[in-house]
Amino acid sequence: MSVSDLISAFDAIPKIQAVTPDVPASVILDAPEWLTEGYLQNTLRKYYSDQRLRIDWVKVNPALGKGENYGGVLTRVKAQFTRSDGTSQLGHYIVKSTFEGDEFAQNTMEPYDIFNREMEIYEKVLPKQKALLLEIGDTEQIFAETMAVDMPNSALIFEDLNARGFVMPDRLAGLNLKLARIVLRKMAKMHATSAVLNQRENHCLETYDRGFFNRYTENYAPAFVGMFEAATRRVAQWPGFEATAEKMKSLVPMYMELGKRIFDISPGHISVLAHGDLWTNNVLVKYDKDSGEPEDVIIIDFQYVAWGSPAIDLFYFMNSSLEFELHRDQQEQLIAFYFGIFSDTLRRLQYQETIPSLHQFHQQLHQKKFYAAHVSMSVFGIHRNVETENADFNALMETNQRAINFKNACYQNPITSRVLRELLPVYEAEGLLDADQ
Amino acid sequence: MVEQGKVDSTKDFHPAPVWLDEAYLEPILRVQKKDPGLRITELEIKPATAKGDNYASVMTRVKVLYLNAGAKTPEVGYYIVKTTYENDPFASEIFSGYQVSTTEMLMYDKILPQLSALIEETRQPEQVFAKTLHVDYEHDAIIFEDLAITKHVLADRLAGLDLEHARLSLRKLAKMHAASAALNERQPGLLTKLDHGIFNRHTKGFAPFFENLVGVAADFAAETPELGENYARKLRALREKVMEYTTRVYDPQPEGFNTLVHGDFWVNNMMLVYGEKKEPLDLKLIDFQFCSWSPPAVDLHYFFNTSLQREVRFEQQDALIQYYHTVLVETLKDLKFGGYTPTLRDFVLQLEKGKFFAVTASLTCAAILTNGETTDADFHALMKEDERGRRFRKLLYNNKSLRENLKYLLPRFDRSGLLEVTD
Repeated sequence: MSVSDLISAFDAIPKIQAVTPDVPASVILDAPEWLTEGYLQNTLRKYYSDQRLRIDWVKVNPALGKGENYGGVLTRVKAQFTRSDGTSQLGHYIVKSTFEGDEFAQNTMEPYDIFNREMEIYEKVLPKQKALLLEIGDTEQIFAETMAVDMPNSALIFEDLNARGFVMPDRLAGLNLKLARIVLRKMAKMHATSAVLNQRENHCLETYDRGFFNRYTENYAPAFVGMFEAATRRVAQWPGFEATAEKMKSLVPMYMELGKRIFDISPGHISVLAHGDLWTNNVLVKYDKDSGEPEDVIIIDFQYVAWGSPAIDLFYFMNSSLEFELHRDQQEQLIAFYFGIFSDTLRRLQYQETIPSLHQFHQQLHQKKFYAAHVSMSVFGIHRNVETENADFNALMETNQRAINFKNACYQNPITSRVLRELLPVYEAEGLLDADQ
Repeated sequence: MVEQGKVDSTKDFHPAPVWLDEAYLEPILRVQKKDPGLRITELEIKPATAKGDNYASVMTRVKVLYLNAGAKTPEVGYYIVKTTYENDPFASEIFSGYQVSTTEMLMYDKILPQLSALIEETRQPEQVFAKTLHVDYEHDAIIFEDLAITKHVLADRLAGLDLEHARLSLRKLAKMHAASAALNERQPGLLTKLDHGIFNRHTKGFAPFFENLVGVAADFAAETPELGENYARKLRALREKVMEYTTRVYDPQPEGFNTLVHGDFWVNNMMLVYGEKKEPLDLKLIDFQFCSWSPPAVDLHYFFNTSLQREVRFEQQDALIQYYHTVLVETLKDLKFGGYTPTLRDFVLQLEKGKFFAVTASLTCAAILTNGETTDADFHALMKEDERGRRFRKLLYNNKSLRENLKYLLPRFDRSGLLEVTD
């Protein structure tokens, strides 16, 4: 019996309300060892400021399957509890914690410092951004509310948005225009508030300089360059693409440096706190029950935030997470849409530095366009991978045969191939595949 | 409205130079043919261009029959004589501000021959310009070989160039640009002093034309369902900025690649030779009145938005830019150019910086250059604030092709912020 079978079995049990003598036993499956009923009870007591709060039962199980998250362990918690006033409540939470027991993963990710960063962001930065929006009367929710930040255990506890009807969109499909615009609206507000926050609080956000490409470590090079090399091998097989494949091969030695330049601060460009990993899987969507139309979006997973160009998020999102036609044809329109909200929010918050015109912004993004090419060529394949059997951190980050096979398999995906086929000529014509850009 | 000395606008209007006769041409031919005993027996003069083909000067086609000393049968020579609007005070006053004849005479006399010599030094030498016969500073006239005789023809300006023609044009342009950069490197200051392009920092004589047409474009947007009041409003606001924003594209960029741009690089300033199967074999550039030291964006955006077939203009610009850049860099290398050579990436970004000129060219130049209604197509109608002028300019925007292209382009310009008034 697999873990997921077990979970389905439990889900089939009819829900029992609290304050009955016959309470089901708590079930804790496959969770971090410190995540006990006692721990949860303490957390809830703190959150609700109620020392006499009592947990009746909990159900704890893993939240994700293989291939869905390389950045940590997610555990879903359902807890039935009774408060001191006698009322009963069923709470849904997500616990996010580090990889435990995988030395290779820990060592690889260590210089990126993702867990500490994320906790800091949820604890200190996001609440201030929310406050800035409230200042101008904007109550839009952009990210999940934090229940607790547990530094010693390197864990974050959030309200489980699933229970509020937010789900992960189909990772393999790509977002449609309506969804893309909702995400971009939130992104624009996030960016604008971060720029203002940085200004008001003495440049406090500029220390976030460890995004995917940074000047401290190249630990993720095997993933990025490895995927790029797999792309090159695939492209070399196509008639008419021989010259392109040769150009791509010559680009390999420069690849990491070109990525780092994207994350370098360019003088005169507007800078923001970028999410750093804004793609389909880091976006939760609430669909309308009847029409199936997307209504709202919450952005999650702030492990790779970096201070820098909005291009970091814009190009990452648009080249990984959209329906194909939008990816290929509509990026400029989407940028213009984003920019309207971005500049408007900056103005309303009385941002003190120069706000670029749209054409200036367009040119600033253009200078970072290598990132668009990088995401389309090297990251898209990871995100859209359908061979989940071997989809784990090691396959991504190692350079052995298993890892090579995994990466090659990513490029067998017809959608990933199509992106290469149709976009490589565009990138080539703009000089983005030249080693001497 | 009829002005004194002017022909009725329904007939062909041809102010031929009065001094152009046998007595004038004989000494010139004697020098060129190295025959002091040469005698002209017959001279035929007629207009070289039709209405709508050329607004900036007068072109006269000359057919000369002459006898070499001691010869029995006459030889024939064909030339183009290019002069200014000397009989037309309205036009000549405006044009004098642009120093068109000074620039062009300097080009044909001193600069083009040196550029040609440089291109001869490269691995793939070819002729890019027509050969000069004579430059007459006193009469402000240039005489060069009539390319029509060596089977050069104008391309169809209304249809626009296909990909093959476009590549051919850009190859020649890239060589001119590269040779100019190299020439200025070898003779510093020779070319950088040229700064009287169509947009320049000395005169805004053409402003009525550009500003009026942007106004007409705004009206067009207002009455076009696919565009609407939003675009109309933006274009009306852009009217008074169009001269300044475009002139900025012409200003040499301190951190970019600059060169001697042609300044009027469109299909009607190219003459082509075709082979038996109608394939284009060769191309020469003509008309160097508006050359200036500027970024190549000036020639490229102008060319793309006035001279190409629709699919090429909309789908193939990136590939054409890449091709132009390859030829530019190769030629610079052959000429051992030591100055700044842009990478393709740099170049793409520099073109983007000058992209406002694509807007200007699409809204204004494209209107006249692809105009099929030639009855009223002259300089006065372009520039004047009278009824005839207004009627002509409005008529320009009845052009179906123009309208379709703008419906496609305006949203694209808009979304990269090119229609905004920024200061």
